[in-house]
Amino acid sequence: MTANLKQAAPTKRPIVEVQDLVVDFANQNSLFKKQVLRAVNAVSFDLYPGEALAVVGESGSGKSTCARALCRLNTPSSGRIRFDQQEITEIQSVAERLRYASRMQMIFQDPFGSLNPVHTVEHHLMRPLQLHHPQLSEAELKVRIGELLNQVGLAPVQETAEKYPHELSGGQRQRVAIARALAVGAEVILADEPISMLDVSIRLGILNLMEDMKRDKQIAFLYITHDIATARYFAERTAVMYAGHMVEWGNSESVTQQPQHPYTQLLLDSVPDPKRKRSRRQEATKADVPLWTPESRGCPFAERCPLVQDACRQELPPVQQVRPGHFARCFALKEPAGGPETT
Amino acid sequence: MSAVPSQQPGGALLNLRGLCVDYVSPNGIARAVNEVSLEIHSGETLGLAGESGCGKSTLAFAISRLHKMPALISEGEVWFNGQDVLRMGDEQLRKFRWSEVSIVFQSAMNSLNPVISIGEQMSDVLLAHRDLTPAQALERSAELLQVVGIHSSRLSSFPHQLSGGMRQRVVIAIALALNPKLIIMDEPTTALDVVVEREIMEELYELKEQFGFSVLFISHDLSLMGEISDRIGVMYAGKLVEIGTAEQIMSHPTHPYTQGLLASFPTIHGPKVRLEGIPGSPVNLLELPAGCAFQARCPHQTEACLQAVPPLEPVAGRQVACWNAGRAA
Repeated sequence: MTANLKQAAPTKRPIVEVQDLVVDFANQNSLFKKQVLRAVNAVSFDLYPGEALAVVGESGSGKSTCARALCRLNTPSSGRIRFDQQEITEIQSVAERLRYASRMQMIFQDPFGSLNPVHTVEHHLMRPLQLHHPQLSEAELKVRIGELLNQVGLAPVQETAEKYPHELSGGQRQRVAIARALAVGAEVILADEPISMLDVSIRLGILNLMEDMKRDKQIAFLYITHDIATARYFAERTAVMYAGHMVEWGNSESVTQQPQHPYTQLLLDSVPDPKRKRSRRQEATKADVPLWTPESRGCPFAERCPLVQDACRQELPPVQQVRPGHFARCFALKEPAGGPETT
Repeated sequence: MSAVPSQQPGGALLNLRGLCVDYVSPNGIARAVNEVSLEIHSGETLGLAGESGCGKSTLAFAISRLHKMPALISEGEVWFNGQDVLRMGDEQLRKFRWSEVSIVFQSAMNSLNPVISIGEQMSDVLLAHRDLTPAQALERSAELLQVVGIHSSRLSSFPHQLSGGMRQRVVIAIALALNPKLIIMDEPTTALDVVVEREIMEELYELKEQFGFSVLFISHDLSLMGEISDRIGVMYAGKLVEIGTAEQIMSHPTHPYTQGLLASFPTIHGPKVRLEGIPGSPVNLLELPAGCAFQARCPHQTEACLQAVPPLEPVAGRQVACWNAGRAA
């Protein structure tokens, strides 16, 4: 299925290839019994330079776990993650790990928690530069920091560099976090809900800044969000996750305008739209998102799905291409592209 | 408060007149709510939109006088159903809260006590305000849970055993317990996923049709607000800058801030264009400029904007506080 995804951007070579990723967590739910939770199951995707893949889903759907597996904060239970043709599990020596960290950076949701309150902006940018570019002199470092602050729109540079995090607004702090990722020469940025804690009027500023980074520096973004409208705005491709599974993915326009999976349809129906008046009823059953374990079978959405069939409770639906560059896992797909399962 | 009329003006359920709420801090006085006048009618949903720090939550607290030091109401009047809320005594206020106005707070799912069962927390409210036996209170709690779509067997559950959406429903059930005439909802669904948010908003609307209460819906999410509100007010730096019907605000916003706020949300349908949002950052209440508070971020700034604060005036059927709105319209 990785091969299928490549059709979405056939001309480029992916910088990150994730194949059949599985991440399990051991959950000690009583004194003697251990329960294993499968936070991510059978997830495959590629990231391309200069392109964004948005991962959309509810809280607990496993989207952050995917990002954390990429930067080695979570260990995959199975599956492969390749970065620039190399398996990331093969990265062992300190020098190699440092090199990997400088190419793969993360931006977190809370810009109030991700900066150290006792250090200035300059310190926040100086440290990663010193660590990853020890050859730079003090004067060169200052010049580089000035360039970075300019790039992320934090002029006047000298004034900003001397400020402490509490003197900055949420949007400015998030710009510092982006500058920090750029400082070490990131080629891939994992942005985990980077705008959801910011004031509404400055969110677009951050999204547009990331858009410019993507275009001008050919940075690949994994954009994690619960807001499918910003996914469509920022990302070339969108993947929808439910209970640890990617249920639908592909070209953002195609996924958001012609959703094929019942969960994506429910998600899009739920997005507030002032042009639509209230009173449209949900078809889906209200139920909690299932806890997925290694023993769980079938489609994770089966309990809520209005189109559920017997097969949905037996096995995970196979990946089907519904349109060029647009894929879904569902037994009830209306336009199957050669799959044996049809309605 | 010197020239107080002895009666509530007009036929509205709630009237705010020139309400000001100040936060006293060592660095000066921050006026979080600045001369806000508005009314809510019976059965109406009024949306109040704005960014964090614009004073919309402070306003909600002030309506039921739940604000605490260092916040204080320095000027203005709050009238509710013929009663002067700012002149109520403690006992009168205690009865007024919850039975006439109830509030569903932001992150309400965390406002439940983690060590007390749902049934007990619900009965608490009923026992405090109504002459009921504990058994009757529990019975009524069971009914209330069913109203919000939760099985009554959940009465003995503790908050951690419920999902976020269910906890939010419990909080709404508690808010409904005494049949209030007005429910203030302060970002009621911000912490919830969009599918659950939709379920809860739809349930709320069925309840509203059933019980006929009014809603003051506070949120930063204009698209959700446009869908559910009858009228919408937009606040910036403590001031009401525009108020009109939902249709007017969503389709033909007049104030540059309202226009910018609406242009800050990418849409899920329609053409995909680069949006610019609003340049700059929200203004610091301790460093308000002379004139319009929005001047530094406004694309249509003129000489008049630097001189004096624009008053809220009727323009094209709605009320707008902008020196250039009248001219444009």
